Amino acid sequence: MGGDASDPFEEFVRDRSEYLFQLALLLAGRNQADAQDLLQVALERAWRRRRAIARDDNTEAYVRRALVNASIDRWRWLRRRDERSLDAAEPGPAGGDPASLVARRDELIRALAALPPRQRAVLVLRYWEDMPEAEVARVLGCSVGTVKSQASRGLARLRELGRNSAGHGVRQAEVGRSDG
Amino acid sequence: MADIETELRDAMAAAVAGARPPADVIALVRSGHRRHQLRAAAASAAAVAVVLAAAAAIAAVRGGHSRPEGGGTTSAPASSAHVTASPSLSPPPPGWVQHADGAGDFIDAPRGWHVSGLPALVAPAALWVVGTGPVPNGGSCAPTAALRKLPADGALYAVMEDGSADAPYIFPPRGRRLGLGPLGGPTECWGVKTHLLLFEDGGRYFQVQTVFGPAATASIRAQVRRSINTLRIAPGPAREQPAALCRGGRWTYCPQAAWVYRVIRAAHVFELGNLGTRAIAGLAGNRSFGLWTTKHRVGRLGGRCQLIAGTMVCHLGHRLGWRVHGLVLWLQPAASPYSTPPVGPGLPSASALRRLVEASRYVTFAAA
Repeated sequence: MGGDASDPFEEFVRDRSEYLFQLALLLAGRNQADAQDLLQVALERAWRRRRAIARDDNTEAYVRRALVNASIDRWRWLRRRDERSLDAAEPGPAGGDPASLVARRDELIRALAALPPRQRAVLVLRYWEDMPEAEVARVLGCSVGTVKSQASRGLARLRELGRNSAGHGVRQAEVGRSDG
Repeated sequence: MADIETELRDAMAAAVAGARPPADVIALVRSGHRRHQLRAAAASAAAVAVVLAAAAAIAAVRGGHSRPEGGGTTSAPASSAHVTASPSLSPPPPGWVQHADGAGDFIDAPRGWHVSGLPALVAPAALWVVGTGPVPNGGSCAPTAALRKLPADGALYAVMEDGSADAPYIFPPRGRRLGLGPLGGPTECWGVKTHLLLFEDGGRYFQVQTVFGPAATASIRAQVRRSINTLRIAPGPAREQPAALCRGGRWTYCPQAAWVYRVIRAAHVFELGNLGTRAIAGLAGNRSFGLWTTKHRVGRLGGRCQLIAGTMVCHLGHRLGWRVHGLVLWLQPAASPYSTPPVGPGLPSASALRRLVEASRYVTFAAA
């Protein structure tokens, strides 16, 4: 495993790691440490299968799917737990910018982070990646109908949150944790 | 107000704008991949050893043939999976040939198989490379010259010794029977998928890597397993036995270190070597930390404590500790010998800590 500069997998990582990290960041609810964990897990899985996935010329699709699966796995692991970090690593508001636009975006991202992971993944892939519903369904291994319903429910929760937050601010508890 | 889809798009774009991954992501992936192989092999070998130990116990109860325990470590803490070391020397089976390395180590292989005692590998040191086909010398860290000659229905395996054994906790004690180890890869140096078996025998640390041709039969595979099980290893000096080193205060040689390694693996935290013989280095995200155990203390650990995953975790100064299985497991920010910025010392994130606490509870520890 020498430092082969022409290794296609390494080239892929070099070219796409920023995009993949940003995807991981959204899937991890903007938690940097969790995003790095997710990226590491997904890339390690891809590394182990790099020859097979390179043959199919689908490295990015494989890693993207691995990231989504890792985020869902992580949530399953943690779903029964509700402790907070001793080192208080919770993501917080974005720097306390008073501008309403920044505050509104921050609310949305925190609300997104509180959605169930599959619902969050649908919204991230659909609206950040701008993927067609059929492609989202392929990545998530579900039907187009499921993607539509998950997106609809996720957006409805965000809208509901927007209404509630107009006068009272955001409370993550209102978003709930029902899985979809 | 803009529609929610547009708002969400803008919010997500703004949230991740300029976010960059760790600079050494490739190095982390490589390191994790390598560790994953070793972890998988260690887990497999340990599981086989436990099963065989149980089978041996049942056989003994039924009056079956029993073997003496590996000698010289009666007062040392030892894993219940530590059944035996090398079998005693005996003549090879009919049709087989015994090979010696001149240092007191032996292996048997079917007559007609090719055995190279001089595989000319730089590292790790190879005792033998055995193949059903030709075994020409060549290769720096794997017998690549022999690999190129591997027949479609053949097998090639290398018995290599890790002379440094800087991470003894990943090598489970040799059990009564050796398997081939899990198939993984393509393996470092070899460039193909290999079975990887790790074990400790007589205070020495070995890895056996095996490759089969695509048309290798079950009979060939069985013969390879049988050959590997004929390995007789001359034990190292008594003072270098893991139990003696453990008693001498070198914690990474103790069963407790092997337990911590299994906890790290189960928690999906990366093992990044060790901090001398005092602690194992872990990595979660970009934070590296040391992990070690001490004996259970009477009374409270002290500090600020919090319930995490059903376990009281206490924050004492810059370290965390919790009680489990009669031990106290400690974590402390520490620079790993293999990490480069932006990886730096730090306690694990909330999620990684939860995984470690949970894993420490369900991964059992049983000192003799």
